[in-house]
Amino acid sequence: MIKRLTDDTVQANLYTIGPNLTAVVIQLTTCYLSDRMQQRAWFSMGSILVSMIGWILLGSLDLVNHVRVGYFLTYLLTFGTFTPALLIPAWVGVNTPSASGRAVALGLVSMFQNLGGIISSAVYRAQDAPVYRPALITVSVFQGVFIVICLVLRIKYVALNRELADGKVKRVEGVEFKPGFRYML
Amino acid sequence: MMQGWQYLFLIEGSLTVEIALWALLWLPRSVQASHLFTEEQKKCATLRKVKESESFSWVEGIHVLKDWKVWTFAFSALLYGVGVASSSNFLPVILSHLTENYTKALANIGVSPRL
Repeated sequence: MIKRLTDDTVQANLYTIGPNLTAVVIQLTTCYLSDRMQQRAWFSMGSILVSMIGWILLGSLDLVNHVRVGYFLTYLLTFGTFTPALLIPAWVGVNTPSASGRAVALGLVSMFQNLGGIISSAVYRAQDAPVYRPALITVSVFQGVFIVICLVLRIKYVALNRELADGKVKRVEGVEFKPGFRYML
Repeated sequence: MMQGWQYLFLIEGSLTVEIALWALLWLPRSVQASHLFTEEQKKCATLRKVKESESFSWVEGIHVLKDWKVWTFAFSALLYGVGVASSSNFLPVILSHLTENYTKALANIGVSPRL
């Protein structure tokens, strides 16, 4: 890895400071709003959509001649890529009532996120340098599927909440003593 | 004499250490000592802690694995995990072939490359 990053590595790394620092502010704001409005799915999907546009354009545009556009895309990309990594664990945690169940569910989520890391390091192949188009496309396709999955989960939880509201389902395991319990969406 | 990338490791690592020290001194010792919660919320947190103080139960833990929603969440983590790892590991590599042009362009629009 280090060997592959040659002389202009330092400079390339310095250029990532801008997008990453801006992303910190954007991510904190997104998570704060998500907490405030008690919505996980919309914020996860929205932030991934923004970063997906960044990945797609980074892989499809001629960036050597449009350098400023390219640099702007890296901002777009960092704005949303990390946000679901904060929102999804918060979401699965709050919808898993038992403490032991939560521990297992969060462990599973964290394990799968790291498996994603393995896929990531496999798709950036040396022969695709310098643009790594197949890798950029892979990332955006994965993010597209993520948006669909997020929507499916939200629809399921909306349906479950409706059953709770109608009184069709009387008790949720682990939260028997909270009659007003609703799932996080 | 250290190489450039060695300085990068030092700078990025020292930020983490700094934040860890700051967190140690600044973060409240407990929910009760925090100013961010109302009295009612603190009471609720205490009660919840008493209720959930039982030790880890494998039966309860394994039970959630029968829920397809948990697996769907896990699968979604795999999907966003690819982007997360790509962004943190490969963004410099993706950018490096444009670095020369970046320097020129950024100098033109008057943006410091160091922010």
